[in-house]
Amino acid sequence: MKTARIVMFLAFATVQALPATAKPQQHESAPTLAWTCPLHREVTESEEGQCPICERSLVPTLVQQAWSCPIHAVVSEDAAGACPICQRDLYLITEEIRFACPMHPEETSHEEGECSICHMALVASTSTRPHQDHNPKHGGMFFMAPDNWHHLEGTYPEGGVFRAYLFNNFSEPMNAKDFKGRAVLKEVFDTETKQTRELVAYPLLASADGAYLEAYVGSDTLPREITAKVQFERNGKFERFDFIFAELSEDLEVVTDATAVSSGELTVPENPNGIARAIADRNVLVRELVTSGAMTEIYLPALEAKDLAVALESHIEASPLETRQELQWAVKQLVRAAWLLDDYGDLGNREKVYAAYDMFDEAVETIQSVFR
Amino acid sequence: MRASFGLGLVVVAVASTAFAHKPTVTTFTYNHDIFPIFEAKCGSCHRSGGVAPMSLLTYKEAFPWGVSIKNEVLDLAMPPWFADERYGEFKHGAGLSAKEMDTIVDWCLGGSPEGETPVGTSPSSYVNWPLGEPELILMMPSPMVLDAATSETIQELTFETGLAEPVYLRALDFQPGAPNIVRSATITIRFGGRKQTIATWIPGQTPEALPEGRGRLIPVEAEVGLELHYKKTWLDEGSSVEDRSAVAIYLHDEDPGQLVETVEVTSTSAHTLEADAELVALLPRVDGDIEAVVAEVVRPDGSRERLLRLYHPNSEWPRKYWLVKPIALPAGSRVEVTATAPEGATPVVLVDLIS
Repeated sequence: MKTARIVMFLAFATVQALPATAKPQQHESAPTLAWTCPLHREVTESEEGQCPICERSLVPTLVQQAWSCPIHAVVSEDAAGACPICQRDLYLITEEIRFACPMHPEETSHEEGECSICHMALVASTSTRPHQDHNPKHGGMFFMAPDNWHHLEGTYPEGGVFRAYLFNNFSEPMNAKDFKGRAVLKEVFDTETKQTRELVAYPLLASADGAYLEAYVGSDTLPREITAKVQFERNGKFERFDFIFAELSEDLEVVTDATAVSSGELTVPENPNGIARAIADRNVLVRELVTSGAMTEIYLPALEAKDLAVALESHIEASPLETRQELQWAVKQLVRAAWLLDDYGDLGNREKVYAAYDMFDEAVETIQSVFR
Repeated sequence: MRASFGLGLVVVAVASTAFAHKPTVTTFTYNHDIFPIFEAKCGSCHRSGGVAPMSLLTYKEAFPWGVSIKNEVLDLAMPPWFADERYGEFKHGAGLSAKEMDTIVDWCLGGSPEGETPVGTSPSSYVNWPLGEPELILMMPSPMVLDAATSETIQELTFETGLAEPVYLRALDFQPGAPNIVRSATITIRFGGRKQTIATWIPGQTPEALPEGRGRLIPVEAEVGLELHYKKTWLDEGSSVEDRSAVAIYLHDEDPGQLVETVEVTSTSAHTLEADAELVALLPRVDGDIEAVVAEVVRPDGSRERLLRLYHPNSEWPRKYWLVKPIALPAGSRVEVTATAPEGATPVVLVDLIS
């Protein structure tokens, strides 16, 4: 898990939009017949039955394990290793194999056969499952919407220009003309009405080709704080995504320098004071990321601190009696705050990130007051 | 970590994509890590026929709720314990430890795999009366019918005890007739124009007896009141459900010598002890959107001790917090309550004292 997360983190500054489907590749392990819901594709069962979410009858599907690159989705390898293009660590995905008629794409099957209309042999293709790729495609920040289905990437490609790219749950681009939004630069919270009032906001307008929403946001200073408020459904709520751009977003084609890829292994110090120091080190990183607005990166040091805190729990019995209750609370508070930072960071909600960080910081301080 | 990828494709790898938010893989599985926590901390409500709308005691029942479980756990809304672990030490704590919270959230976000070896999928047996056979059982005289059109209601009824002489209560317990609709019960005694709440029940609560040699006086003229909160889940919507619950009463054979008295403390009304006493339990009663309730004691020397802090307590889950060790308080000690609550909401904390 940690390895996969770290790969996601380091892939942040890279870009390449790739198709979600590809020609199937041969893997040593044979594809397996499974059962999935026509509506909830994330459901996969080993036998026929009903969808546990909507109770629809499951349909057969053929799935296989593969190892893919966070940047180069065309890569589909049989085992863990490095991407043949950019040398990044591959991560595990589950591919679905479908057979379709080249002439009648509506004719599909989970097994080989022929088209019932023209009798041509069905051709196999693979597709990824939902939520396998949350990497930015245009050098910006990639967030998941609260509906857990839409995704949004915000970029600041040139001074005074903000763009928002929309994606579905397979991280496939969506037509920006189907969405409304605005880029908010300044807002105040009215304590009497308990409502946020926008003071400076610009409309997000779809580009001619529908590739993105764009707003001209005045001056070209850096760093730039912009909140995108986007409506995903007609008459739906405008969801907020908070961005801080420290520099211009670069739409790079390929990153070949893999030297920055971390092994992802977390070393837990043996004594509680060492663990507490390691937690404090992560706190510095988390604080920097929160302050700089790099919200999609917060989870890495936050969850490492969380793992360290869980390891610290076994040392609480060795701490002075009068501090144990406080320590137990702090460890739990840190675990909770770290997961919330991960969650809110993904959603790009600055206000919630700040609140979760306050909780995180307080817990770290309590731990440090006992173990130094 | 990667070694786990070598497990059966459908069982582990495929299941790991369910609700996966990122392409991550957890090392925790339902059968090995999650079921024991769910059984111990959630199973009294989240079981087949329980008051919760879904069981979490089999993998197939639990895994579709991964996102909701994660949210409830991180909000500290479930399990409904609410007590801040920094203050007081209470019996039968129902909160999650840091490790348990981490395990559950990691499993929910990391693909929710089932694991290889199925464990028992039925909850532990639920003993009718964990404290043993009661001296007296007050059974509802007739079933309460929650008709098809009613989703939620509160019912009050009174039992005449028919006592010939005063008795001394050792413990109380409650058993719902229809566990799928009885959300909570509040037990009161009424005499001399007073109505005093002495116990509450929520599903999964472990009953507790007063410390040895302590009892609560029930006068001859007392009546026992029972307030029942009924609430259907969507599983019972449109159906008529009958309930016939019972209250168990445990008595001392004779006057135990030391008697329990319950006093009400609110943010506007502190209680000052007239004599030395032991504080054995606190029962907060809240209503509305309360952020926090704090009960403290200020001793005559000015020292202050925080007894209990509840964080976002939910009025649907009233609970008595029994101290592991009763706290000795000298005469002149003052018990205070403060609350972070909207205007008009005045939480009450019922404090059980033994003089």
